Amino acid sequence: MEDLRAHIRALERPGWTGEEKLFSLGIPEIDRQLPAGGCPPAALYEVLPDQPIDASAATGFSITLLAALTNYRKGRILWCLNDNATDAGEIYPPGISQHGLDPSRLTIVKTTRDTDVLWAMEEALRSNAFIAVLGEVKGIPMTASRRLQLAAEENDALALLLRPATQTPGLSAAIQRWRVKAAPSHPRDFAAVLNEPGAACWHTTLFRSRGGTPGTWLMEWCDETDHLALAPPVCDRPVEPHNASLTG
Amino acid sequence: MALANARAIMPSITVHPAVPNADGKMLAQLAQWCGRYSPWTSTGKENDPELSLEGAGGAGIWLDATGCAHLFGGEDAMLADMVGRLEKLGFTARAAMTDTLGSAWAVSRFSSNDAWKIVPPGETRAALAPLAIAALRLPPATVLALHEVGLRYIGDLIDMPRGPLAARFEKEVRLRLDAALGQTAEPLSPILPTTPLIARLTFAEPIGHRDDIAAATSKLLDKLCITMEKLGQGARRLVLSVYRPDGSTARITIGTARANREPRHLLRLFAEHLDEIDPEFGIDEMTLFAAIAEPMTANQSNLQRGAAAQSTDSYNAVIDRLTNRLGTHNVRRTHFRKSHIPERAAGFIPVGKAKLVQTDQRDADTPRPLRLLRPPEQVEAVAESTNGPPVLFRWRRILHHVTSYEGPERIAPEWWPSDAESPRDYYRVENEVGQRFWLYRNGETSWFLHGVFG
Repeated sequence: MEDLRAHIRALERPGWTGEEKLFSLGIPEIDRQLPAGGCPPAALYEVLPDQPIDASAATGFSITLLAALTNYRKGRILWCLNDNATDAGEIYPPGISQHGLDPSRLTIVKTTRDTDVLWAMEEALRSNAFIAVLGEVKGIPMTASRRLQLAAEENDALALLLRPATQTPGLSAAIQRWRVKAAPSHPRDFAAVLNEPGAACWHTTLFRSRGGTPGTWLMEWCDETDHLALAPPVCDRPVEPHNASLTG
Repeated sequence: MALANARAIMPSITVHPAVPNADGKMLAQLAQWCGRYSPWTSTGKENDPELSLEGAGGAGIWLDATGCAHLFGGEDAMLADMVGRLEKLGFTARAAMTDTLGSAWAVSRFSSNDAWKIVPPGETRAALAPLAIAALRLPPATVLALHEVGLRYIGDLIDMPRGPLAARFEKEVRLRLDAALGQTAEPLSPILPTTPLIARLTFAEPIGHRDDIAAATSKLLDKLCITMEKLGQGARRLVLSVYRPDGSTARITIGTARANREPRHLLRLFAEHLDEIDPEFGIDEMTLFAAIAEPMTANQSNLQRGAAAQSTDSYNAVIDRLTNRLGTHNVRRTHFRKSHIPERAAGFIPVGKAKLVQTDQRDADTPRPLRLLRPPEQVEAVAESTNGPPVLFRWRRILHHVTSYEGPERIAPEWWPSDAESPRDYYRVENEVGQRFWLYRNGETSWFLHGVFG
């Protein structure tokens, strides 16, 4: 089986040396399900929110993915902001660093058109100056995504498309496509006692994985230890407003 | 003289109404056209705002020809070429080349009847002496006053002692005289001119095809980069100008983040904008001028260096391409400021202005959102008590129930007094579905959403 996989991989990517360099999101259960056992650092990824209100969850997940990449290799990251594709404000460096990504690595580009974002992404990928390029696009035709995938592979950089919520994501050449939805958090220790929100928690669905199987995981980001982990199974919590009394 | 008198003398003269605005525009266009001779041209509006198109002498065009004459085969040939082309365009022109602005103005208008005249360096005084006082760009009232005292020629003024002259007439007379003689500086261009970094290409037949324009730009870049390398300079801003046979011009400007003299890289920056040039009936000349150049050491074009340095070069190159297409203010880097007000504490500023060394960033023990709304959006919120956390809020028409909250974090305004600001109490709240928001209360009852968490 492994030989067959290796054979297919060699056909898909001529020039592949047989050594797969991969980075991991930090969750073994996910790695096991991915082909080759990890995430290739030179490929196209796509992240979508489930509903428009989940847009920031999708952003958070994208950042943790990039942070996982920076654990594996150092370098600069380009973020192409697009005012038409996201409407919940501009990314904020302190928040970014709380998700594990060093904001001083970031260079951002502000645009309003998808064509500019795609152009900037391709220029950046081909320049060999960045290890990752993130672009916020509303939609992307298959051919354009194929171009980005090739550019990412040839130039050894990661390309990530962050899109707004849509019912019809369409076809894409991305090797991993994720759908992210916000999930109630799991506060621990003191936070639970004080009824504070816990760490960011997301319901993520890998709905397309090239060469692998789709899957769904509930993951949470732990910002003290800067890593992603599977959250404990959702337990029933009564939804009620905060009760001011601690003794109640 | 009045029009009636003129008609009485010669009944058949043709009369056209004067259009000073159009004349002024035409003059400005001609000044641009003269850019083919020197990058520093001016109609004189900045130096002499009172100079009008009418009046003795009137306005004209100034060029700073330092270092440019050799491109045309000498000063004589350059002036001959200029006057000849202007006459082909339909103007009657007289030119003078001298050491100073003032004397050039004087000689071209008040000197002999030659179409052009060159005053060799050092002979300015001798050339100015026989000219009338009006040649000093003085207002008519002053000229009249000087005439009344018997001073009619510049020669009379040159040797007069300063004291009485300054006492009787305004400083202006002395200023103009000194400027004309070269005793005080009157620069045309703000930069101290050295040999300008300029390359020129003329075409026997006007070109118009985009590929030809691109090929010509490439040739000009090669030429200019060789010159820059010899001088140890790199360009920060380049201006490509094209000249058409009818006297109109067009130009493209590009800028780079670091001094650069790589022809291929610069050509790619120009390539983005070449479509903006409309060749119309053809282009018969193109010039490339390095408007801003900086010293650049040879090291920067050495290919054999470590991977880190090479990646800085490729980073600078891609930043150049991004800024030239999207605008310098749209390519930014992270920037932290020493402020506790969230919207001031961190943000992104254009790459050119970003310091390479980051000031200390707060590794916040307090939570900060992933995205910040600029400006914060007002929401309707309900809290249990006046100083308590929100229990319900409506943002963009969706109602959220708060299930848990963290806070308050009080952020006071800056120390300088400001009417609108009061302290803000920030809460990180989570709703029933798991979405997390950053809300603050300003004053008693207004609530704002400032950001969203991942």
